[in-house]
Amino acid sequence: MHSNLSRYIIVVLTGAILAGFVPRGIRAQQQGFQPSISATALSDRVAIGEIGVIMVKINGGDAKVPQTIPVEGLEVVQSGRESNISIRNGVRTIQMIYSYRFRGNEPGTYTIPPITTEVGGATISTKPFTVTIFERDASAAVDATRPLFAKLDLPKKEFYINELIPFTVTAFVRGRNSLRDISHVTFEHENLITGGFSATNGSGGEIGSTYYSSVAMPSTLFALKPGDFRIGPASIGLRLLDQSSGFGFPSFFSRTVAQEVTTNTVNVTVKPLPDNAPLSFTGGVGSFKLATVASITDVSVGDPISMKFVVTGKGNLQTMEAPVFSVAQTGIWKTYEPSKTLDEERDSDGFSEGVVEFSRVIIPEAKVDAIPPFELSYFDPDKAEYVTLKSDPIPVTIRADNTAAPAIERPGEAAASPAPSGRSLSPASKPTAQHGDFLHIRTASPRWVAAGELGKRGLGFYLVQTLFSVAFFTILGFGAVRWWKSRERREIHTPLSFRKAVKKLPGAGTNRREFFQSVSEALEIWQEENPDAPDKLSEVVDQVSGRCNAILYSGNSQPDAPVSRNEATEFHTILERLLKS
Amino acid sequence: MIRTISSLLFLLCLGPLNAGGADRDVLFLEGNRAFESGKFEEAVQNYDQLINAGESSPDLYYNLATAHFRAGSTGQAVLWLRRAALLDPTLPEVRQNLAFLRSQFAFLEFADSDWLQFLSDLPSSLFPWLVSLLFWIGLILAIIGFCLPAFRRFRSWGIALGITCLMLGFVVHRIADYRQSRIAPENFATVVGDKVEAVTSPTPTAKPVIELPPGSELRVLQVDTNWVYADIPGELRGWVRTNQIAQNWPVFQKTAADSQ
Repeated sequence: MHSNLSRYIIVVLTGAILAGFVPRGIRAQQQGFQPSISATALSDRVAIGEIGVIMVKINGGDAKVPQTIPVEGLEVVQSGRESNISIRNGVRTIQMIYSYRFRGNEPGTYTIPPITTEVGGATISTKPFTVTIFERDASAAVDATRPLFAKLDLPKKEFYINELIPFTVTAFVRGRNSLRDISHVTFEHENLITGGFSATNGSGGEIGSTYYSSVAMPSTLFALKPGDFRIGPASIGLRLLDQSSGFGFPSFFSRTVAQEVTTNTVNVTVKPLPDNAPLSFTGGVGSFKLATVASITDVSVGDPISMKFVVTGKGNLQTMEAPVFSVAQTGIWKTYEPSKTLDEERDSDGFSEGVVEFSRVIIPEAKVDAIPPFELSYFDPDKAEYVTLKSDPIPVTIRADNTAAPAIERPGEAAASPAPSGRSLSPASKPTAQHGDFLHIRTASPRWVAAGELGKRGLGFYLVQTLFSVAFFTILGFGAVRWWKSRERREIHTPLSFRKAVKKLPGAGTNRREFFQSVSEALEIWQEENPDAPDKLSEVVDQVSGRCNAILYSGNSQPDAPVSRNEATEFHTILERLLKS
Repeated sequence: MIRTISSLLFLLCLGPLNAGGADRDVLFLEGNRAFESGKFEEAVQNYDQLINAGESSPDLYYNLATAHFRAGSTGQAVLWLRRAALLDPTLPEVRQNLAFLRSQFAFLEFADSDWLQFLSDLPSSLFPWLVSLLFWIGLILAIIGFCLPAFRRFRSWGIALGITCLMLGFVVHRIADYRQSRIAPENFATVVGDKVEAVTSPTPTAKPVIELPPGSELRVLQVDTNWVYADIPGELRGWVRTNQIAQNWPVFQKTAADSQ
């Protein structure tokens, strides 16, 4: 687009410069020139999905042309423009060329209507012409006359709804190693579900006498509705090696360019599945095997058991749902919605087997001996019939549990299923509830309760705590007082020992009277405690006792003065020696 | 004169109480009227107004559950029935409607043993009372023989009984602790969203553990910002989005889904 524009600017400027040098006579001849317009398709036969080109040429000047040309069934959009200026026999001619791309999705012949425009005051129109959109089948897709093409291979043209059909999209590019990358593959149909194009297989080979590089992209599809359909074309985005220099020689530097190529189309017939599907048919089409495992086999009534179902086989696992009980187990087993695990890498590709896992929680509502069989039906397209797989019953130990077992028989249960053991109830002991619907609202005046009352401790609680604590501490206080008093009494009646008397002796700085009275008392206690003391020791004690009496009662000393440190130490030492003796 | 003044004072005190009571009764009746005329969403709004105003009543909760059920919110219906049962465990309508919902919807519930059920049924206020009484009686019996001379003869009996009471108090305290952390309604939540799954980790790409139908019961173990780690009936555990469940009690810890 940019190169077209720059080329156009250069041409216009060159034309303008040349026009400046053109003699007046020549310019006069241009004025007498009659403008014209024409439209042609480069190829009037284009395959479905491929792009064709229409060229609109305007001679004698520029004109305004539409961006799109309305044709029912075709998409026609302007894609570029170009201008040429030529001088022949002194006459300057300007030619504008507009290109349009068109693409059709339905085969048929389409008429391109006239394009009307105005040049130099004259109204001119193209002539209508036709283009043909045709279906390219697989055999015609391989075309060695084209530098690149693509092919859609579908091995089965007639298949059932949900049947998994493998197919391949292959891109061919002329030259060795000329195909560098696949940027995208677009393959859509409202009635089809297709797998991805994650895998690519690159190869190459000669077609005719020309070598082509190729990349095959396998995938799968399945149909959602029955009927006859045309599928394709698939569109493939390619990155190609471009070694041309633009001057007709190979380029020294190689570069890649993006190209898009479309495949052929394929007409298929999708058949509906037969009407006689079993109840346990859940949508699987193919050929499968079933394995069933119970998470636990020793439970109480009301405890959940997780059932795991592993389905392996070739076919469509995406549309398959979980197995169901062979016989309805209402009132005996409660079942929950199953979960499905299908990893992309473990899915079947139509050739190899895939694996899908289902998990379903079931809960015993009664005492039974086994988990009943589960069924899974699928449609086998090779046999053109439904096949039913059935698991074996799994023995279980179910313990009765009154909290979990519903004590009320449900309506219609007795007729629909066998009465489970251990659930017989006496009608006289408990009435049979129907549980037909939710009860109506209560219309009487409501009983309002204080907000947040539940579980809260009221004033009463704290009052009682206070009373108890008062009682406890009163009793404890009473006891403490009694104990204190009795301790005091004990202390009064108990005679002081010499050791205690020495310990209670005051220190330096106390009143002399008090100090020496304490010493005197301690010595008296010693004498009482040691009536048979040696005479020498008794004499010492008498002497010390005499000193104390002299200080206390002679009137010569100052009894209210503080006792000196030396005196206190001296008497302390004497008494401690007596204590040790 | 004195009588007139005292009458006026009484009316002044009673007036505001009566006005509040009248308002909530009027709102309740409006909710009932909306329900009777089939405007279940409007009934839910009326009942919700009362609850948002802090009003509590087993009848209100029950009616709200019924309105939610008629409006198609099974999870909310189960939640409010459970809340009504907490306020009045003896309300037969609540038990009957829960039995009906069990018969119609396969929501998961914990099947506790008789002992746990008994513990769960006991009023939660009983335990502090029991613990405190046993504690105080034990202490008083233990000291009374020492402190009061009149009871000196029974001192050994008193000590023995006191220690027994203290031990019993300790056991009851432990049971109350267990009940508080495992069985108390504050630990439980109800699935109120549709298509709820418990998953293996608190991430959007986590694999499923089990599908939880609306009304399923969970025991909350840990609460993150957007996820709750919970016990699931059947000895399972998994993570559930916070906005898909509502705590059974208290009422005012509302989730986003709860308020919808």
